[in-house]
Amino acid sequence: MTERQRVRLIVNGQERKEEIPSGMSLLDYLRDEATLFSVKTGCRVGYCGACTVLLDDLPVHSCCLLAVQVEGRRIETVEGDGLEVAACQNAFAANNAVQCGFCIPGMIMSGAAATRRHVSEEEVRDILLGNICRCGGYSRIFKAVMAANEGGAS
Amino acid sequence: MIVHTPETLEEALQLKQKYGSDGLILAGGQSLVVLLQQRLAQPDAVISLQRLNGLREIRINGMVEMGAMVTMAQATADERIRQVAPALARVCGIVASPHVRNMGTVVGNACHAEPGSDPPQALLLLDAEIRAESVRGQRWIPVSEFFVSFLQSALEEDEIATAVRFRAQPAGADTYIKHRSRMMDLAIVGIGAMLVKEASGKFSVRLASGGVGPRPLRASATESEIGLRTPTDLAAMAADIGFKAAEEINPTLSDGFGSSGYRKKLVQVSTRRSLTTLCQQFGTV
Repeated sequence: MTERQRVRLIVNGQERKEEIPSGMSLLDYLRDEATLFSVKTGCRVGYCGACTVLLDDLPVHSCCLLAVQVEGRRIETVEGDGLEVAACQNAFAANNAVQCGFCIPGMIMSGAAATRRHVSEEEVRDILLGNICRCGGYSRIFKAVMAANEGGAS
Repeated sequence: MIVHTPETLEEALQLKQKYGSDGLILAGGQSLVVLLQQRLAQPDAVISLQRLNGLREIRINGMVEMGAMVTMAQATADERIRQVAPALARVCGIVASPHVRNMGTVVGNACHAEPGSDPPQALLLLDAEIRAESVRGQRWIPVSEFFVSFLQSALEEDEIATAVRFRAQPAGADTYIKHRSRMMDLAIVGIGAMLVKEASGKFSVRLASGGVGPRPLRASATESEIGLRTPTDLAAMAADIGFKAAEEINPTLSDGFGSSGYRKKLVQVSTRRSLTTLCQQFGTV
């Protein structure tokens, strides 16, 4: 039998309290309970990065976390109104960085994490390691994130 | 399955004693949550250490002590760790991707005892010890005894690993060579090497390899056979040491990424290269 547990999370700036199954991953929570469909279900083993969200400003794989494990912490997705998220969205459009689009929400969140901290080119490459693009559009994605990072997006 | 989020360590230890092997400890979750999702692990309870903020601390007081909730990202970024244990900071910085390192913890990684993991090699080089606590008391387990077999640590059923400690890295130099098929993968073979400057001014060598068998290993016999040497001597002996280390480690692990013979060759070549690189730092060509 699956136990249910109360959980309180701050999702995109709004406090949410729900009773959810104990073993529910943050990914399933965000999609099924919070109906934030920008968070994509990819590999479910912490490899592809399609489920990337920001946890207290750090990019993490939401499939590899239990929702109850991050009780009380701040979660941010593409649906949120983060300035860096918007900057990345604009930069991705301006640089034609989107192909099929499945990996893009994850890429944007990783890119937003990089942009928020104004990291070096090397660190941008490092952060994007956590996201796989099946279309192979890495060079444009990298260019877009660098553009957002340098504030040249808008 | 129920997830417990105890407020105190005592409470966590009592829960662990109550559930035994049916209660699994959750630190960063980067290994455990995947196992839960795939139903490879189906415990009655998960005991999360998320509220135990004391375990997030890094204390440097003669010895370096890192709590069980210190993430690999912290170990890499923390200025003090970079100073006193560059080998650990380096290795923690190349595990999987930043996403994983932001949650995954050094101690949790050790408890998972995955042979292809990287941080254990640094812990072996530093002669670290892991603190195992239970309602019965606590003990420090040397990492050389902590890794027992594939996904199996020396922790008893009622024990929780709460910290890792080690002496500051001795003067010298260190390097880590990781062979992997893709950047985010586990190591096919990971070789850590360290030169330690002894009182005489000569150097001793420490060698650790992961991905070679059910557990990571130090090449202790080879290390003591080398004894104390100058960097020039070591550079000249590098190829020979590579062969000896490969013979001693003698990898048994064979999988889709490489046969045991291939891994043996990797140990040999990487050991040689590590020593050559390290010796160059001391002015030998």
